[in-house]
Amino acid sequence: MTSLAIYPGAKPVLGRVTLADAARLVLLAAVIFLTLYPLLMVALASFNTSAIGTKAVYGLAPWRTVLGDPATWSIFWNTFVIAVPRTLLAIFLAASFAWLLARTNVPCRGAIIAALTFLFFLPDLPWIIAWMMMGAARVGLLNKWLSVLLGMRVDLINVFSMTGLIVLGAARAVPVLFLFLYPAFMAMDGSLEEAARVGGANRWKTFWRINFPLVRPALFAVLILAFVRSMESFELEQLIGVQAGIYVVTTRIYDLGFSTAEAKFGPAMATSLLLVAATLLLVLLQFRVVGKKTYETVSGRGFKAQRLDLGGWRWAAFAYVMAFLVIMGVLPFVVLLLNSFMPVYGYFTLNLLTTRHWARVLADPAVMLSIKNTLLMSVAAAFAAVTLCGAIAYVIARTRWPLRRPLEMAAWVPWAVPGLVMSLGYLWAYVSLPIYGTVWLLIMVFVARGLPIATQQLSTTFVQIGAELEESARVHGASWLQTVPRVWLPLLRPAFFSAWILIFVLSVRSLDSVLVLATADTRMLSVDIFAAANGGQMEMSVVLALIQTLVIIGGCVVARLLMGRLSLERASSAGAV
Amino acid sequence: MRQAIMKRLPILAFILALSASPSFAQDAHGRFEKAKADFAKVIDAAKKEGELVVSAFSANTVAPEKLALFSKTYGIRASTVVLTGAQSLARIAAETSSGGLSMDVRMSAFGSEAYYLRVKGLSESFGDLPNALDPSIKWVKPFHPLMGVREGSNSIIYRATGWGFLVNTDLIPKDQAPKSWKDLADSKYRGKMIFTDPAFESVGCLVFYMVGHKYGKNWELDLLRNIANVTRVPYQPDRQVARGEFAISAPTTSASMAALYEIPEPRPFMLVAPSDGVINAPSAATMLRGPHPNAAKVWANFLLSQEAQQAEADVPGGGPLRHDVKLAAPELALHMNNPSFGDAPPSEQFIKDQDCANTTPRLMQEAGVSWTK
Repeated sequence: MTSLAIYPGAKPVLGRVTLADAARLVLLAAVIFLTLYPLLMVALASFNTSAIGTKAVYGLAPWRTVLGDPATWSIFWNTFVIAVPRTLLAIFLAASFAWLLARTNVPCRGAIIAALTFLFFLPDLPWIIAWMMMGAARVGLLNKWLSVLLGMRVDLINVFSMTGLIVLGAARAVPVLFLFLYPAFMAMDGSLEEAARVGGANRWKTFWRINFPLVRPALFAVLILAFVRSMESFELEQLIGVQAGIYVVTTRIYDLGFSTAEAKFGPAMATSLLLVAATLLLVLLQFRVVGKKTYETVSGRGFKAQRLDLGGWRWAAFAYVMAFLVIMGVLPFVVLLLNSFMPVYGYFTLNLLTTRHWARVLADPAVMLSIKNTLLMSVAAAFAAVTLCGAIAYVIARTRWPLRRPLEMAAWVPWAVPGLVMSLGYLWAYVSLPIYGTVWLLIMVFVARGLPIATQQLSTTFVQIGAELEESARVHGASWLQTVPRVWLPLLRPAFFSAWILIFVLSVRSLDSVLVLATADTRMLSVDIFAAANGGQMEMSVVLALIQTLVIIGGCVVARLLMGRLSLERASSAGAV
Repeated sequence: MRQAIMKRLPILAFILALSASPSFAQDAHGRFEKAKADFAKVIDAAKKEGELVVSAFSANTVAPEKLALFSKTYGIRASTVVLTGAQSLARIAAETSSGGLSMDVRMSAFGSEAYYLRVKGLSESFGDLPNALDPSIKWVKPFHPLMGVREGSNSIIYRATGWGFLVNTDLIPKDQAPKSWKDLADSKYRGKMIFTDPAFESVGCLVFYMVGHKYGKNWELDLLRNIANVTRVPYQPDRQVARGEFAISAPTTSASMAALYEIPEPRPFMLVAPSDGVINAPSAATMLRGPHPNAAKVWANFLLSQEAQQAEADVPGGGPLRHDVKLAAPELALHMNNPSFGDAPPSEQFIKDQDCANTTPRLMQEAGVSWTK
């Protein structure tokens, strides 16, 4: 169905080019400017044989260095070996949580969703450092607590290991994947499950024959997102992996390009482009798997969002989700919170409680500027990204425009390249723009970095909505501009809201892609957290991280209030069309 | 070549020898008086510029208190941008080529960054700074603000830290703890040490280069065999040792220890100033071709003033260069009261001699050790 073609705007304006085509071309140009243009800069740098700051000399030497070094392939293999189980574990956890919370009567759903969302709010760096303290072999807090609990010396947990990297990486990915999958599970028509059960299918068969095929687009999108994120993950690998003797592609990129002051980036850029190639292959695979099948579950005849009664198993399901939340969310958060009141991070002594770290941070006018900048830029980026991604997702999912696949692939690019590398792409691409050095540049970068996730989030929801709704509106005389607010927006509200939250939170937490672009006037909390941690001021870093978490919660609560009835929970019952 | 470098005379000795000559002293005094007279115009011009942007490696490279003191003293708005070494160079180069450099001064450890900024033409001289030329100021040996300039760099040295190591005394009793860099290679410490990754441009690599030169290749191989884990996380290894995860962390600086000294006595760890000398690491301020050149000069001169040096000394673990300050934590000032292991090699020579990413893995292979899984 070429939806746009049925609207008045589809009349040719330039020969065979319709207004709709022109709009799509502008959209494609915008996406190229945000993603491929910086990538082109990275690609150019991958052929630059000279060091930064000297006259560029182009050649194949960086590529020869990378492709001819056996370490490159062993490190890619290492990364793959970590990414596969990490991705599978993350998807299993996120999909099971999403299914339980969206489709069953597990208790305290609202609180659990809020807690999972909260886990997504926690910044990476302090979370990892909390785990370095909790999960250290022998003297880590978890081993100590287990020893006390079991009355014997226990040395079970060691995060400085392959298992530690896999489990922590998966746990870190779960909240974002959950937020991605939850709306897809919510949008499923419960009457289909009901029909399956009436037809004699048991719960397991219903899940495999009904639920799974319906959420397959979202699952594949999430699979690729999780895998790509795992491949380009850096902080966890640098902080925990190196100490465990485990090196991956991103630590290799860091070693090649960022570990010396000489800044010879060629091999680092070439290595990162290999990651891009791997990602684009995966995206092509996604196109093939999701392909031409239909996944519409929201149609003109309406649907019921029914919940499966788990009976006594609901408490087992509740315990399963809560165990994850307590271990991966509550414990690190409590550790962070307590540490913010200790004179020295990592030493719990109740008689030494102090508020001076908080007092010092809150008295710093620069921190106030960071809070203001963080909020303003992230809110602006979230609105801009959701608008742009809504348009991209519409073109990808609802039209047969020949360039829709290149558009989708272009939107994937920012997540295929590690932030550390892409930040240089942004620097080289945008340094001559008048907005360089202003908040507008950072907003633009946040929008670019958010494109893959928001586009996927919205397009997977778009494909679940039947075309007859739009056609029906058209038949009744509605223009495309009238159809958007009256048909699309009500149906897409949960997905839009989720996408908004995702972009907002990712923008607030964003560090590697903005560090090289931030100025004294555009400083952000994430940069302050990094600066304090890098200077050994972990106590300040923890306080700033908690403030950042409060900013995220505050922003999300206000957004939720402003959107009125647009909460994720209510959206399910408002799903009937 | 390495022999020759390590044997070169300390720069201070050179300066002292020269200053013993009456004509040199006269010239130096005259240059100082002229710089002092001329600097009033620089200050006026800086005030007109009204702003200063300093790029630093981390939050504690430029303490907010120091920035506030500078702003209060001169009425110039001062702010920082935090960037790591390679990122900083990439940004300075990109902004310079587009004609819109936003930063005025780069603050970093003295070494390769200052060197690359100069050789790539991205920095320039601060010119004559009165405080750097003032003959009445007594600088902590073996440092001098102009020691970098005398090497051909555009940087002034404004602070310094001494590197030793940290020992957990619950895991290694005090009397059995290593006392020197030489001791660290003793096989009784095998598997007990966390070390800053020497296969990385870091102080870990510098220790291998400097100490390894003095004690030879066998010392390097033995030390590599003793290392249980390497890390690239600044300041974390010391906390890990203090918590008992490892028995020894090396190298350790006084800045890292400042937070740990908040733990009340008796502490389960001790900072060791190696008896064969602490490794001194000066910090540098380099003038970029930024939008506020006069403010940059005033900032550099301010860094050497008694007020700014006192602000440095007020921070436990800070590294003042002047003697006329009162230290908040004298026991942490390793660079002031201990013998120096020797001069760090000139940046250019270190870069030529020591390719950390290649040298260390080769040594590891020879030692038969691997930290990689």
